[in-house]
Amino acid sequence: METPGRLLRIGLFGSALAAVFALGAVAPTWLRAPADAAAPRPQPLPTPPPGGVMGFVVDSFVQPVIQGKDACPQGTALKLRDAYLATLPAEERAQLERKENEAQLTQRWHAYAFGPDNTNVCSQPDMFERPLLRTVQSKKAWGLDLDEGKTDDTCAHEAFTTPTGEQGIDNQEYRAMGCTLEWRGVDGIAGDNQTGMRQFMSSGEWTQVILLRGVDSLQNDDDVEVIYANTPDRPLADSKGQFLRGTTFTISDKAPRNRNVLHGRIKNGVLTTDPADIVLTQTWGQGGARDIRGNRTKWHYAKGRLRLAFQPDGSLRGVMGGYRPIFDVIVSPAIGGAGSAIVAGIDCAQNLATLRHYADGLKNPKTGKCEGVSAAQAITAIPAFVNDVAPARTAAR
Amino acid sequence: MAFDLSRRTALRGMMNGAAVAVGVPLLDAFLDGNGTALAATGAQVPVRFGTWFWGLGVNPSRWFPDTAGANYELKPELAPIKDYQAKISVLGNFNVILDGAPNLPHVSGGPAIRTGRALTAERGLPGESFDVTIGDQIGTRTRFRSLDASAIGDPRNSLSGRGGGNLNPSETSAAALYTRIFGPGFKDPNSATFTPDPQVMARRSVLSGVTEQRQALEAAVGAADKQKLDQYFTSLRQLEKRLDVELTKPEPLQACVVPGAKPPEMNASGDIEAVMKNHEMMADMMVMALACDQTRVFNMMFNNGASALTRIGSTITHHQLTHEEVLDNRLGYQPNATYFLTRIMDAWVYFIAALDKVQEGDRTLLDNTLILAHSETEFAKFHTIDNIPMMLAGRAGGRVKSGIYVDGAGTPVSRVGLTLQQVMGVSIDKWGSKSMETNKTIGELIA
Amino acid sequence: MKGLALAAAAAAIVSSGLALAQPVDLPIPAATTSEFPPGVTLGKAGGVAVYAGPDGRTLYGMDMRTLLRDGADPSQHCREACAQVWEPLLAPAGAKPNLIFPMGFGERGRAPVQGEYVQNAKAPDWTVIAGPQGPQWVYKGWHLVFVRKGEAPGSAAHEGDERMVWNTLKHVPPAPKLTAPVNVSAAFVEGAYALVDKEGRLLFTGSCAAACAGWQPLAAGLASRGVGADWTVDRAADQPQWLYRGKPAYVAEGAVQADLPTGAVVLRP
Repeated sequence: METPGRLLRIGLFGSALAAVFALGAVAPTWLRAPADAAAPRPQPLPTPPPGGVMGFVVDSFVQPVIQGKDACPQGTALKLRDAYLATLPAEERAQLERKENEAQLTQRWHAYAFGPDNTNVCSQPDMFERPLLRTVQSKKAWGLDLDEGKTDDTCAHEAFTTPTGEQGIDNQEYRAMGCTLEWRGVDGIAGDNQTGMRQFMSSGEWTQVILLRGVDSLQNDDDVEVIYANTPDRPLADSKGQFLRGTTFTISDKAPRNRNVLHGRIKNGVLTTDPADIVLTQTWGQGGARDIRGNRTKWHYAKGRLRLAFQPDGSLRGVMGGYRPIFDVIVSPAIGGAGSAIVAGIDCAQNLATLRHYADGLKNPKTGKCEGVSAAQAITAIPAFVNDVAPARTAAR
Repeated sequence: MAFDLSRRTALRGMMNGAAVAVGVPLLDAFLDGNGTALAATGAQVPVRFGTWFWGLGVNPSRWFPDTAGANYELKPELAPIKDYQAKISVLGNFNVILDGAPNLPHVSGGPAIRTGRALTAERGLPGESFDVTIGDQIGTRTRFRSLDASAIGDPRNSLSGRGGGNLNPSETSAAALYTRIFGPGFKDPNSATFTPDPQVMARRSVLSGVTEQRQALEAAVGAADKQKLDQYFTSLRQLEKRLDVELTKPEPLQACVVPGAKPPEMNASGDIEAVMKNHEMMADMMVMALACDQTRVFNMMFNNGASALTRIGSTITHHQLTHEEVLDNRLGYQPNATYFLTRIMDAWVYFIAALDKVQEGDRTLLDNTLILAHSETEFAKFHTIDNIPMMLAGRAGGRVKSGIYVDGAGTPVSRVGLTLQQVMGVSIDKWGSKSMETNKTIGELIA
Repeated sequence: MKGLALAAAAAAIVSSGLALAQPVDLPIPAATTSEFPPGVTLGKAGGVAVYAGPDGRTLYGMDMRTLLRDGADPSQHCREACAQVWEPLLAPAGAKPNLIFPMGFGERGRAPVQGEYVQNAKAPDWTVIAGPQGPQWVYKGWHLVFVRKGEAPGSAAHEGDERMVWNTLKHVPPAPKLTAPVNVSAAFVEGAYALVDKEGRLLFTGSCAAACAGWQPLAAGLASRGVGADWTVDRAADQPQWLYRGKPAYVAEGAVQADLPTGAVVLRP
């Protein structure tokens, strides 16, 4: 029997030291990031270097969550144990919640994770019918306007508005998942995703770099090549875990890494790229020998685009938007299997049903159904030296 | 009966048709006038090496000191070591570099520390663990090259081996460890089918099998040594009594290993109090085996990476809590999961206290030992493997400094393995592979 | 996933001892035997050596490890629509299965199975599983063996189909037995076995002028005395260096031929 440890790498988590934010502390950069991309630029921007080549290493890559009571007025989404209890009559629930019945409750909610023929809610989420998650009820979210009002390739959905007033924001991933504990947390500050994602960037597992070519001005330039790629190099960090500026990285396109070549333009200090498929590394390594999908997962943003604002200190802040295949959103706990359900209390079937319900993109022309959700990642990146590797490696090097 | 006072003499005798061997602690009679070397040969008092492992890391902000150097501050989760702070160094900010290999949750961290390599298979070790290399250096002339035990009772709970899929299995019960240390060196040829029964052995006491030699030895030594022997035999007898009590209970009896038979399944109960008790008995026996020079290398595992520890009356495991219990950003930690860490630190302190109680000349057994305690993750909820908590206890006979906090400043964790091997006399100048290959000894630790 | 070029399979393979996979994005382990099930032969597809069935059609493995979403026992996956296009390579009638898909965390109560089973990750090349249509061959513990109905011999048109569920069974000959220094082993690199060091870097020799000042010798220990008939030690240089069949051995920067300097010749067993 596999141990749960081998099966699990629950959710999207990372560095722990970053987890401690004092009450009332300034919001971390990743929360401010999208706002900065939308806000006007009062300070002058530096001049681009001669030759117009600029490199950056991504130091934050997380799903943006807007805290506040209006988002999830009923509270956060229920964990599997509580979701099970919610299916019971009040009297039975009260009985099971008594301390002396804990063993029985555990046995029963664990059983709730399983179905016939040894199926379970995370390994085979399509085979369970579960009620939807509690979803985000407020009108505000970070993200981009992906459909720009067109409806030919989308399914009906409600748009959000950003806290800075930008309308038409498509982020159904946030609507579906934004009330889960992993996203929102319990303390009004941040969820585990936000505190945890950094690990994958700092360990070299998923480290991303951005290389800009042909930049003539950071204010306005209508032709910039943007290479958004993964590197196997590990960022150097100071004792607080902050990445150091000006270190060197080499792009790799050797599996499992990726190299996306995008075209963009700069307007008023904000770089925006044309829609394109963006694929980035996301390996989990979980599942044990019996499931190797964890070696092949990816961040896949269809019709993906970056919108990044140049900062006076030389960094980039902004957001990536695009449509994600809905199963991608739950792939980590799905690969974790029964362990994700029993150890972390995640009901993958419920998550999948909710994502399916709110899917608004990647419409299947045959069925007319949408198989993707609009999504956003908040990104910050700091200056770095980035060596590109040509896509084809030759014997003559 | 005359007695030859040579160092490696063990008391040997017969009991129930099986040979038994009882080691002898380091008596003053074996030492030179300074109490630091063996009188017979002039060799130094042996230096021992061991590891002590616990699963699921710490809450970093509540455990690691902030400032490098001596007199480091004891944050709440490190506070249990207070009485032994001068003999314990804390190692922080050393990184595991995977070179593109995935971070296998609860699996990658331990082998990286022990082998200096990133694990690419899903289990086993990517190379020889340093305790084995050190054992090759210092453990070849003792009865056991190494003793390995798992207090949670899982034979696969091990990070020791020569690489590949095979790990040196851990003894899973105090009874099994007892049988191993004090049991038969070989089977009586006249009784080929005989299987020693630890319960019977404990009831009768292995000492009863060596009565004559014991008396001869006691007659041959001075008053101080006689007292020491007395203490030793008394504590051994006390331990046997405790074991006997344990073995009489129906639950642990099922977990009791009869040598030669298929090992029973691990006791499903990970109840923290039972594991604490198991650990205490194992610790006492390890200490005796070290004090008696039956082994110079040991690996003590408290729990496993994905820890199955539970609290009495609860079915929620330590591992489950680390994942399911939401991190409270105001508190900065998970209170329920943290309960287990506090108990684990108590167990660690018990282990080093037990070593420190054994006097060897002017030093204690702890002073003549070097123990690396470490976990497999930094913060279990996120499976982080940079800054995995590590402690170094003892002074390896004066070869290392103790009582300091060493900040690794993000350098590879293989520096720890390199330094430990060099301290223990392994002739290497670099260790680890790929980005974890290093030749940088941790100079702060060298005395 | 079909876009994954077969050329990727040419990447260096250092045998890890684990039966990892047949998919092109993972290292392909060497065969451990030259004895195949009845009717199985060797052929070529897409320029790569593959196993083929009695009529020369390429054998495909259905990778059970990719199919957990569809059911807890992926060995039973290929029924109905799948079975209409994929034909199992059945073991002789009455063959006793010696493999099952392993159970996962928390699973219990799968239908009882009789007999002894080998661990999938340690399985020999060819084992038998109880497939939906009877006892069926499995390659390397994870890949149920099929041929594609109607496919022409030598075709690998379905390589990587359905997100890497279907992969041709690529053949890497068994590794040669070596008598060599401890840090030298054989790896299957770009179609043939080559000698590599502990980190998988190619070993080479060559004659050179000034260029080889930068070549990294394969260092021998001070007390090394030669291994077998092929390996001797040259003590003339600053540091003892291994000679392979009398020629100095050097270590390349990497694991593929592209990592060799000009003038280098790969050492082969």
